[in-house]
Amino acid sequence: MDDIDPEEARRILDEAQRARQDAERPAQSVALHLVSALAVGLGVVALAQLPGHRVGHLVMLAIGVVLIAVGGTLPVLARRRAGVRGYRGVTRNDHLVFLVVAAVLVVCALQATSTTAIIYLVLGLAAAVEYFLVLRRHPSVVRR
Amino acid sequence: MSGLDPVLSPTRLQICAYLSGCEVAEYSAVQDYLGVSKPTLSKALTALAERDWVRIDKVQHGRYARTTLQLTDAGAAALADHVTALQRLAEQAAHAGSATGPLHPQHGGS
Repeated sequence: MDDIDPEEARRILDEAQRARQDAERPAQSVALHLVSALAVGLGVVALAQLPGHRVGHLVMLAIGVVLIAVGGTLPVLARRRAGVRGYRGVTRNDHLVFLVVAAVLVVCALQATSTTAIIYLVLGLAAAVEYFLVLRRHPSVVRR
Repeated sequence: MSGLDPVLSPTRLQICAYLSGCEVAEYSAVQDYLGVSKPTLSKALTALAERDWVRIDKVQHGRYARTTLQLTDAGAAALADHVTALQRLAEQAAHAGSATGPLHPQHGGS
């Protein structure tokens, strides 16, 4: 062990880093990630739609919550099916942040106006793109 | 004195690193990921379990029993120490290129 040179140490570190990341976010199909990202994006958009109709707005709000939940849960279920469960540390915090942000969006959408509906449209698009990049572990969003 | 733990051979380190990314992983998931044979993985896991770094459980799942693996707090600490030692070594060549990001497994994965 003591005869490891710096390059070898770096290679071992890279492999260990990759192993942890692969357990956190195992390789999954692009289709699954697309569906999940779309569900989250559409869910965010739906939250603030039909602000002028009380019942219609509540229905859209419920649809939005369900879509966001589906989008958030699909990758976790696929990971679980692959035999890997639970998260630790930073990744667990990421999921907590996801839940808090979703809750804030839902609460804010309760008092939606037509302007809010447009803002949520943009937010939904941004959320879909960002979530897709996170699921694909794109270098621009992977901080570890 | 490098601070590297000789118990954490590359395969065992990979196992610990993989388990540091989840709470629990099934034996088959780890085996598939590492691409090693059952006896090789079993031997590595026995060595880790003897030091109480990995917990091995048999979980009844319908008619079948599944083996699940979990990195213990002691295992996470050993992994963190080993990674720190490796980083120190790697930093000796840091000027040559980009250094790897830190891999510090978090404790408390229950």
